[in-house]
Amino acid sequence: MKKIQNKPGEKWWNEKPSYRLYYIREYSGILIALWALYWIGFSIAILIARILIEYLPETNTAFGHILFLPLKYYFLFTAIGLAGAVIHTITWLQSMPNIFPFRLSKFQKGVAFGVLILVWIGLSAVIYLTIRSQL
Amino acid sequence: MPKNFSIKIKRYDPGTGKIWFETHKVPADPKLTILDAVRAINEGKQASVSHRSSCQMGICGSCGAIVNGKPVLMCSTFCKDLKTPITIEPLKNFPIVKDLVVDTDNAMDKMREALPYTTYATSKSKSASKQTPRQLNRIKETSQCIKCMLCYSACPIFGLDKEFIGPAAIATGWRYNKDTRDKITNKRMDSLTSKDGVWKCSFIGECSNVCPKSVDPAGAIQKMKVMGVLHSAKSIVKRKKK
Amino acid sequence: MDLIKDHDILIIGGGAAGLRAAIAAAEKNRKLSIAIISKVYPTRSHTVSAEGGCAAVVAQNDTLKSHAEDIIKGSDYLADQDAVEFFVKRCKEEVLLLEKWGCPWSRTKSGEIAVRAFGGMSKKRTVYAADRTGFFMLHNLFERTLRHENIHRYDEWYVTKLFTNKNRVTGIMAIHQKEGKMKAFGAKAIIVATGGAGKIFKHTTNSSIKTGDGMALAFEAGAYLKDMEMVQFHPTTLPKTGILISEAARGEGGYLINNKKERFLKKYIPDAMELGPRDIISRAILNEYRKGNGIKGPYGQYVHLDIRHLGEKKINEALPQVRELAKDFMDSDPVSKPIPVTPAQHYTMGGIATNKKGETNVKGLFAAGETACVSIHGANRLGSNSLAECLVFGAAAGDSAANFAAKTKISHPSKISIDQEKKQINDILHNKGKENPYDIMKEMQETMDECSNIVRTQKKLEKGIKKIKNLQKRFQKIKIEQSHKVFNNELINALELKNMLTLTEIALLAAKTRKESRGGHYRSDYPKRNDNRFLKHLLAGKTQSGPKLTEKDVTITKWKPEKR
Repeated sequence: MKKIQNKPGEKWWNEKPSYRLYYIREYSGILIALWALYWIGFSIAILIARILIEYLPETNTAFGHILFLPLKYYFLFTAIGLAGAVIHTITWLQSMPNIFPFRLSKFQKGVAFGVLILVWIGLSAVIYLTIRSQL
Repeated sequence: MPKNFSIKIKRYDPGTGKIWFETHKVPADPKLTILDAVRAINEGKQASVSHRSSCQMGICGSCGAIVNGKPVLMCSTFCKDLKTPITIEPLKNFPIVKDLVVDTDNAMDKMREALPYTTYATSKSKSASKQTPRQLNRIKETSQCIKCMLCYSACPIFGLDKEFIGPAAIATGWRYNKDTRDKITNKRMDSLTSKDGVWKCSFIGECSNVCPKSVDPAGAIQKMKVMGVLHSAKSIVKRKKK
Repeated sequence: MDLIKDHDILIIGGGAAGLRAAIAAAEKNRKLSIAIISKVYPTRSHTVSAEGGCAAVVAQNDTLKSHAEDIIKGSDYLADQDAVEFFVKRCKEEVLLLEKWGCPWSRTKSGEIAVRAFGGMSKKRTVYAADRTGFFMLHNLFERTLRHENIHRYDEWYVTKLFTNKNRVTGIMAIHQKEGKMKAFGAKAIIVATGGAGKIFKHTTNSSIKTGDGMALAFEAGAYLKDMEMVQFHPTTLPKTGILISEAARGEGGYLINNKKERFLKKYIPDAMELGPRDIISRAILNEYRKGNGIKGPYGQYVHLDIRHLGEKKINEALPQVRELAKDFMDSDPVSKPIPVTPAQHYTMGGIATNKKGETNVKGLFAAGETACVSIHGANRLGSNSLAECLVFGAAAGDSAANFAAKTKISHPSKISIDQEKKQINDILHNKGKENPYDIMKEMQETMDECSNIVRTQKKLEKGIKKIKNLQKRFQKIKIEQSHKVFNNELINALELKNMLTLTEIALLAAKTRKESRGGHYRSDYPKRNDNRFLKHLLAGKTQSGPKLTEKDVTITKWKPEKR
């Protein structure tokens, strides 16, 4: 007698809140990738601009034009990258207590998550202050 | 509480190949479980809704089904806690044999790959090995698995790729790895960290959400990944030494 | 054209006894091909619900003599004493063997296997695994069978007939529920380990699969059924659902309390109190109901089991499942409220008559576990002996079957008998009638509850036999709605009903014949024990005119019958 296959539907990720959260978590990586691509493009533009200045000084204005385009979108891409990084970090830290090689209760896992968030904010603050004092 | 509960069941008849939904009304009772309702429908109206059941107290694991979208054990779910009409469907990700019965052989056979046994010579045993309560506590969670297959039904990775070993098998493997009497940890790690093993899990976590015995297979799999990394590093070093 | 599948040993039933027999046979002789046929997946067998523990003489201050004496006294002297002595010797090695196979027995602080007190035992000798002993044991045994390549499994195949030829088994016929086809198997030795027959009663702790199929199969094949009137009623089960609240709750120190808030057992058994034998406690509770001391509830009267004084830590450590069951199914947390309990049927002491090695009177047919009656439980079983019995006699039956199969040639069931059985099953499936088989089953269960309960009388037993004979006639006119065999719950339930009607007739006949009260069999018209006339087993055999009873003496070696 024939059995019918019972495969997940095409939009399986939309069926449950936890599946949707999983997709958001994974797709935050794409946001970070976009930001990374932007910075790679920006770095190549700066490199080209420096070469032009060295060897073709009369293209000073051209240099400005080349740099202008990426700068126009600077805040947009930084915002995208920041959003992706924050989502990814929070969801990653949320799942970290689950993979410790010793057993923790639900309350202890919550405490561990809180501690990790504080460490993350603390380290970010330290790095920010250090860079600010250098600039 | 209403006078009757309205129950909608998804049916499939392999003889004719038809799939359809049927609605029945069952007299309400505060202690009525989903399984009681299905049995009342079968016994009263001879509706022949095929289903599996045995212990009726949530320990044998036969009566898994999707009730209002969530995989649960039918005998431990009370009708009064659910939104009517209560929809009952067979477990996802397994081929349906008839009505609420699914073919779970694929997932059950994966248990073998976790090598779930100890390897002492067996004909006689003169004394027991020592194991303190603290050591016993290490395997307390993962040894509760009743093999109900709800985690396989909740795992989209298993749904999309039937070769994945799956949460229950890895949790059983973890339970034997952590047992102080076990001696074949390396062989088991080889089997579980193969290409169909732990690495296919991307930590969606739904398996732990639906587990009726709080085994936490998702946690066990991630810990197994950590162990797997160390194991792979060790085996590379061993191979290099050779 | 269907071929008959051959195996050396066929084991019907995948519970603790069946799996243990398979492992014993597989390890005895690696060349034998062993098949386990079960109507459900093996880990769904009723062993999984067992909670209390497994009796064994592991403690330092315990002796085999003490264990044997407790068993024989507890059985009201109906147990065969040579079998009891054989049994107590082997319990410890089974427990140690399971420990080596990875079973997580609970431990003392220093790492030794822990024991706890149980009803009827004079010393602490129940080995346990939290309070899910049966669950851990069954899963452990099952995982052990995965290791042997010569053990094949046929899951969800329902056995309908045991074929015999000249009092020797030749094979079986089974329905493959997933495919909807019938297939015959040939075997040299067959071990029946299908469990008891709790479902003949309405109020029972047993799961819905305990329908006594193996007992009926063996009876139809010519084996004797022994002591079928002996049924155990467990005193502490939840009202309505019949879910078992383990004796371990009383073993750890729980109290039984009536509506006057007194521990009423001091009026009946002041020495043992809550740890007395189960039949005495069940009768005591019924007596309290009659006097009006029971607490009234929506599902009948009940008494309270109080474990609040043990403390939350002790309950979580030693009785976690009791807490979970009371919370989930009765909405009452035992840490703060007492648990409502009432007696219900629990265990079938009677079964297929076997000797110590698991052999029956049919050549090549063996039996083990609750299905068999060796008998070591006699008229009343002590708690935690059942799991030990499954292990000891499962291993013994596996050994005997392996020895038998090694020196026997296979012989197949004849084509005529195979075709005849197929026709019979198809006739039941396509029967032209009007009766709903589930109505017949409900009436049978209500009859047994009314006529063959804790307290029995001649009148009620005769009424019961008449009713069952009527139900057997009505069974010929049933109608099954589903027409094909793929996972046809209705057909399987109807075949189970046929088996149960056979067993109820035998049980009522035996209860009517035993005109005394002994252990679980209590008759208000013959309230005393009569050793002169009835220190015997009642064997039921199949004849043309229905079941016929014969008698067999109880084997006495050291312990002379005394007042209990």
